[in-house]
Amino acid sequence: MKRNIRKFSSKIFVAIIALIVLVVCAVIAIFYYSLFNVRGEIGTLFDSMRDDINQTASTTINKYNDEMMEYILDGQANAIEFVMAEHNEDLNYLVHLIEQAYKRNIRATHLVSEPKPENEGKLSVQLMHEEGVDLNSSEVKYDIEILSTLQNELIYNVQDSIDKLRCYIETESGLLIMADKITKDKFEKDGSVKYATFRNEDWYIEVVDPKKMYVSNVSIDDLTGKQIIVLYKPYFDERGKKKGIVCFEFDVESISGNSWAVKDTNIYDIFVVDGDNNIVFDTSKLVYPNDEKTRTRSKNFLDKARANGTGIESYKFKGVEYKSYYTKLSFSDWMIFVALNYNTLKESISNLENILDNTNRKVYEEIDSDNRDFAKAILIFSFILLISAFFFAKLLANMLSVPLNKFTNDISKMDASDLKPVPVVDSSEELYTLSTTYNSMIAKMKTYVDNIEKITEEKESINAELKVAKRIQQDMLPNDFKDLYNRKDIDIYGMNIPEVEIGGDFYNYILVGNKLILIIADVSGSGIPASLFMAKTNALLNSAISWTTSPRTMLSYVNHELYKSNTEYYFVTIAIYTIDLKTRHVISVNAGHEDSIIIRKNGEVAKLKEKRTSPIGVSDDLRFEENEFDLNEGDTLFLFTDGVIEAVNKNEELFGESRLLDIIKVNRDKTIKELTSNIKNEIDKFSAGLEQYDDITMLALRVIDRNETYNESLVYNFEETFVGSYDIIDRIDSFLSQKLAVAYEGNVDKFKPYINKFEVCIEEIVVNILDYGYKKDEEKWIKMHVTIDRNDDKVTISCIDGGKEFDPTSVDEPNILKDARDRKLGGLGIFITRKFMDLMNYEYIDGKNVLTLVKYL
Amino acid sequence: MTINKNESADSITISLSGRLDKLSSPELDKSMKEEIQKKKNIIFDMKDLTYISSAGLRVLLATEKENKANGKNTTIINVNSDVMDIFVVTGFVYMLDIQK
Repeated sequence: MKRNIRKFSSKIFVAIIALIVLVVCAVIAIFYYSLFNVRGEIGTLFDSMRDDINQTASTTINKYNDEMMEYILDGQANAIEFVMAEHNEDLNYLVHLIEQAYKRNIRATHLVSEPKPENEGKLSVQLMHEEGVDLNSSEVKYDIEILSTLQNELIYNVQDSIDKLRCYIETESGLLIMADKITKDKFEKDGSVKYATFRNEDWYIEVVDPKKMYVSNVSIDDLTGKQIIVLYKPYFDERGKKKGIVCFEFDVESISGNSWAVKDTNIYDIFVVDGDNNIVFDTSKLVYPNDEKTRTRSKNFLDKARANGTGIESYKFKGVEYKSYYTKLSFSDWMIFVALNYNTLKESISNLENILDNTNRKVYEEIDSDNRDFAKAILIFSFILLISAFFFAKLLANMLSVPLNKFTNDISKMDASDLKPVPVVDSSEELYTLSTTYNSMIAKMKTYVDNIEKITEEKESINAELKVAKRIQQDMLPNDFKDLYNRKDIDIYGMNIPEVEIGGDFYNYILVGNKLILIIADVSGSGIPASLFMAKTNALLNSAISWTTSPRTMLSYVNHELYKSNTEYYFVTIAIYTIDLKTRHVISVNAGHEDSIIIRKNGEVAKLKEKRTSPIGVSDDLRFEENEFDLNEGDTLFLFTDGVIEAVNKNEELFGESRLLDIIKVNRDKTIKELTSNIKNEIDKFSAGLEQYDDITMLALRVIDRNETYNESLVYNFEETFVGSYDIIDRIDSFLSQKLAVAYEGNVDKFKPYINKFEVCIEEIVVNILDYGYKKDEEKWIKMHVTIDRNDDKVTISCIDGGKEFDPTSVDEPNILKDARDRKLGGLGIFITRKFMDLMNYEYIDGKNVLTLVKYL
Repeated sequence: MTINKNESADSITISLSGRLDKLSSPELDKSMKEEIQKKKNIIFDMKDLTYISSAGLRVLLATEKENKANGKNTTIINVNSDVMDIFVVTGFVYMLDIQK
């Protein structure tokens, strides 16, 4: 089933889109939440502001409480009284100057004169008088001369003052000395100066108290039409007789100026009334209706106030609530009122609330409008964001996946047999790490693979060496038995199957004269060390055999030699049998080895009861007991190592001696090769499925009962002598082929594969004889004797010649692996012959060279 | 034994048939001494060669040695099993360029 592989990039893409959508939604939600929150907070803020304003309003209203208003009233009254007190001081000073002038009789030389029309507009001191006053009388002149000294003072008072309109002195003698600007009003139509009138006026007459400053009620100035008031004081002579008055004339506004200035709000108004209840000034500028009702109300109010002197009165006028605070001024009958206008007060607060409400509404409108704009903006923004997110996500996904794809591609292209690092991905940190990690892994893998290859090579090399070692070891064993094949009296067969490639078992047989020495041995342990020890033992045995055939002597020598240099304490179990082939008498020594088995011709199978000695190699103090027994025709001697009987099966049972004896009994009539092979097969069957436990070695010798087996009629002998040169080679070839055909009764297939080998060998030998044996002019003959023994399929060719004695077997084998250039090719023919034939033997008998070749077909 | 030669631009193919033995090898030896002068790669075609002895081996070896001294290769092709036995047993299989 094909697995549907989703692309990594599409996952990233979806993830990023989802993330961005989520973020946008969250941002919108937060913005809206915040906006509504702000709206609510603003509402709360305005509510709180309204509360604050109401709070402030009530505080403000409370601020204008009685105490406050009385304070204002006092302040205003004080201000007016202060001004009045100053004027009083000025008047006192003038009075003081006048009285001092009279007292000290200070007279002026420059006398004040009557105003002249041509001096109109000019500030000056002018002399006026009542009708009937005689300016030339001594009393009048005296007054003029004294008072003229005050001209500058009078001018100064007017000139320096912002509020004084006039300053003048009126005398009991009817004089009026006035400092002011000269106006037309001072003159009659005819240009004469108008007369003054004052001495009969009440206000002049009643001025008698020197300590008091008199204040006129408000009047309209005849000359200017302005509302004026006049302040005046009397002055006296030394006897205390009133001599006249000093007057300051003011514009009313100059008195109220301070009140105007102080009054900075229309929450309250200030007004002052004089002793006749005329309004001196009124900051409200209200126009009172001139009806009876109003006048009465006003009169009652003022009378009540005047009666109380100081107090508070609430009232309504023209729908406006007022609360008036009033008090009497100290310098006259004047009263001052401060009227608190509650309507204005409340109106201003309510105005404030209106402003607040308007502002609140506007703010809400602004916010709502902004919200709508923002909602639109958010929608547009979200749309743009999503579109760009789409492309951005696509880009990012590609950015991430392109190197990843490349990397994956590179990896998938990777071949196990060719480990190469992939190009390092440089665009992404993790991928970079991944690819470098991958590369280092690849590098490690490569090293690992190299190591494995190296190890495998080494192992193969070791295996190859082991194979060579095995071959060398097998070469030590006489595995082809061909040295004994031409014997008709015995049959011999050995088998060695090492547990590993090479083992510690070995067998050997050596024919020395007519004595056959059989050896079977087992070196403790197995593998290379055992095999080396085996090789050493074998070499020592071969050495011993060169000078003795006695098993005891051999073993004494070998044991001694092994013991001398056996640092690893290997030991060898060994049995040696020396058989005299003529007498078939056997002398044996068994050094710790398995008892051999003897199979008698009559079928009896038995272990040889031998005297035994310790294994060799580990002790120098050994006595080897010899055994002696005889073999008869048809008897078989079976030698083996413990690997045969100690083979185990799956149930961990031993193969065992009795099982071996049983198998031998069953197979006793078979050839020894078959016998041995069958034993091996039984062992294999027994331990089927298990690895071979130990080396398995068997060696069997049978004394052939020639009477029973050998058929003399199957032995063919041919002989012919050839004379000539190289041409005899062909003839000999033909002779051999012909005789083989005769012996095998035309069964060409039996020998045909060997014909070429025979021909090559014949040529080599014949050429050798012709070239080297005979002298050049000598008659050259070669007698060929061929024996074909079909019992053994053995072809024996003897070449007999009369040339000089020459042993071709003594020629050194050429080194076939040596380079051709350096190679001596002598002996090549003999070498070929030796390789092709099973046996080549040379004898020089009766002056003739006899070279015998044996070939088993 | 018969010897056939087939010469091309850079090589000479020597086709041998019959037996290369003591008797016939001097003829091949003589023939090869001439061919070597041509300084060409030599190919022995042994398709029809049934027999060879040490005498024949010597000729082949001498040819190979001298040809190699000229910087030329000697190759043996189409060897039958009997002849191959000789090459194997003598070790010539390691010294001559024998192609199956």
